[in-house]
Amino acid sequence: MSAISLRQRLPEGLGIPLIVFASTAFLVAVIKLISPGSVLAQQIEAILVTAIFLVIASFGQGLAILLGGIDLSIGVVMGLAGMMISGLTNGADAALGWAVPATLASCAAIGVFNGLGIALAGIPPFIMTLASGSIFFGVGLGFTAGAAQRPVAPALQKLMSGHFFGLPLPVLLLAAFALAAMAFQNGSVEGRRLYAIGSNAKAARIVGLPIYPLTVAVYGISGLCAGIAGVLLAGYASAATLDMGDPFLMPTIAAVVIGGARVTGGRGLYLGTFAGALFLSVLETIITVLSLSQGLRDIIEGAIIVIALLLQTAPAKKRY
Amino acid sequence: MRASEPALEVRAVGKRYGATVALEDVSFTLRAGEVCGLLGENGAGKSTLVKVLSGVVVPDSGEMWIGGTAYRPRNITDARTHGVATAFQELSLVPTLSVAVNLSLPHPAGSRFGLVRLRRLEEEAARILHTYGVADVHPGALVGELSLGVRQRIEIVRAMMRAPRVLLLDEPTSALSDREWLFALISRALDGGTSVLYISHKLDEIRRICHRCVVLRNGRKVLDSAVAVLSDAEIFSSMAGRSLVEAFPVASSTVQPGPPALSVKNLSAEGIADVDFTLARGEILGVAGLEGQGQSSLFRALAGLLPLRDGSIEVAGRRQIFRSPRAARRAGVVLVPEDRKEEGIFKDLTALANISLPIIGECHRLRFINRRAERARVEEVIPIVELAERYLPQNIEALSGGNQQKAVLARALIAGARCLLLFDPTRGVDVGAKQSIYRLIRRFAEEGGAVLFYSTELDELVHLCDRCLVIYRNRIAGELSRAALSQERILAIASGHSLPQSAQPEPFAENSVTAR
Repeated sequence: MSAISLRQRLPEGLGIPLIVFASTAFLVAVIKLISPGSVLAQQIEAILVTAIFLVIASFGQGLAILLGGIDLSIGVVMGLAGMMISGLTNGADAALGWAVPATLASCAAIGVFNGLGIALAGIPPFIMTLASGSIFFGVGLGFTAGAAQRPVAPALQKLMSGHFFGLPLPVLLLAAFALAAMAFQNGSVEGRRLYAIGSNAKAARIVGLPIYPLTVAVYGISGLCAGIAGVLLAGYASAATLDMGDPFLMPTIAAVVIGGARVTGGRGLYLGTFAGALFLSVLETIITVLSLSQGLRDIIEGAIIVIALLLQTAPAKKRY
Repeated sequence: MRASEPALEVRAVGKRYGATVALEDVSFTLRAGEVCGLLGENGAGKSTLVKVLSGVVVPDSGEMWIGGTAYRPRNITDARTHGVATAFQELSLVPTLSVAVNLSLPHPAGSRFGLVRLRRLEEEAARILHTYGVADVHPGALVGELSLGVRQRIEIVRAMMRAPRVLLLDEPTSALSDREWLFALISRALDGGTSVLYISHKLDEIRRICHRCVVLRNGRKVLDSAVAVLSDAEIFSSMAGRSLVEAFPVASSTVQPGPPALSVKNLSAEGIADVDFTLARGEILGVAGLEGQGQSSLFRALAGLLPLRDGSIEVAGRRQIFRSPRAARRAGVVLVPEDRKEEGIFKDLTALANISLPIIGECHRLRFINRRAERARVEEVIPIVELAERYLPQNIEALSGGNQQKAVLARALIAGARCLLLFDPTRGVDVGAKQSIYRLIRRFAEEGGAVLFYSTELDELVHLCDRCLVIYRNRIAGELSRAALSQERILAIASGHSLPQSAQPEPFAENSVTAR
């Protein structure tokens, strides 16, 4: 009874993000229980700093899924971005001014390449992005030996460990990004059009929405976000490897799905994706604190996606 | 004798889809060794009945009997084991498989290891095709590469080849050029003890081969009689029905002189050929046609969804080539599509967002949606379609079919349409919303807009249109002026009768002898 009236009072789709936020808070409390020695504020801070990669990368994934597609090249693009930024800067801040734009532009270009294949050639998104990921991973391997021999520019490292008015810079960055992403996806003209296209592509065509340009833009944005996440990850880790983005691919999908987005497109808020990304980061911390194996992490992430999808489809089946 | 025993008995069968009644309390008997015609307009329930009989759809109520035993098919294969075979109108062949494999489906005769011997299949298929007089088709040819007419013949052969007790032929001549081939096969099947239910809306075919006919209208049986004692006029009027007293807005024509709003010359595209017409400002031009005659292609071609093969489109005197609906919209030509759920509404958006989509790019501050401006623009158009304001914040899926359609129409208006292409806008819409839509169409024309209006409900065309084009076999077969418009005349042309040019009250000249 109270659950129903609560759902009615909430704006459309806000229920799931709130549930995920609540679960995240619960997990944080669990951390406090399992490692009583830790200082909660420090733990939260550490979680937020490491959450930034997922929060940024899953925004692009969320847009692709909103259109009914998916971007499986995110992990590769993240790794490429890290390799490129360390290769171009070679441990010096001087080159950052042009190296960062050049890196991000390359990543966006990979995304645009995906988008063109999907929109113009009609290649299914998962195949297109998987194949382009393979291609560009190969290109990256050709130029490097798989791991950057050069250090990352110190300014990037400082960005990821610096503070501003007592708050870690990455946390401020995270908040700013989340606000901007929310505004774009759920407040802009383009965001509205993306929901329409994802909801019914045929009708969107009849209405005359610019489906092709928006599809290309979405995958471009996804590439760009993966690029930003990769650059920050390189700064955080002070080093880059070509495959360092791979562990992030599955969580980007999981974050979007947990956040309540429909995998076939048209539904889901960025707030949900954001909540899902935080939830997964906390979960990751717990696994680390308990020193559980990485295999378990993989199992949990895969299972979470399946369970979230089952929860999504169950009521739909009942209706028909 | 056998003849007294019915081959198939249908008792009080009913089927609903949500709020729509597709079949209600339909009973009839198919006697052994007869051909019974099943007639009705589009949406009368013919196809649903075929689906019920062939096991595609399970009826909500009623029962069926075959040769004295209850018949409850769970699927097509089950129906076939009970001796009921169907040649579907939309064809049930697999385009990526060969003719031979298609003929052998669903149970290809496999070898001991469950493998299909292709060569034996093809030999078998060649023999079958020869028996049924389909000489010009290689059994190894892929079905998808064959013409529609050949595919229809193969569909028919596949239904006949297992000598069913009951054969359902659903619009079997819709793509056939040689009808005599089919009629010869039917009489051979009758000799073999098969009974045939022949679904068609072509009266001459019904007269030619059926002893008896059953007419459906709005899901109910309205006529069940020997064909010979019926006049064409009687059959037509029972198909069309005397509609319940429905008020149509009485208005004089508002056709404006001057250059036409839309002028189409020699237009050809996939599914439509050699279409010529002009549509004046202030005019409501009807389009009528039985299902699948090309009307859908015509509307899609005009809206930029289907590339033209030939011909030209002029809007307000300017030649236009619509490569997309976006281009058509820029010229003021807006389509309200056929299938509201598939092509009309965005089910994840609110009614407000559904309506505002075409102009959302004009309601922004720094690309962020200005919700007040959006709302104001939408509130300008919803009174025209008579959509209540309280529906705006609701998810459009929660609205009734009528209100959904009003939202789709409001979206067409907000897009700045000067020429509306309305494809069956009152389908699945309640009576009240229909009235709103009629008023909207009239008002739009009065204000100088041009309307191309296809409807499966003939009385709408008769009452609303200034003129009506009738499409038959992908071409415009006739045109009726407002004075000459009647349901009977539309149906006559739409089912392939040519109408004498003079609009005499005797529209069925070529059949008048049999009618008396």
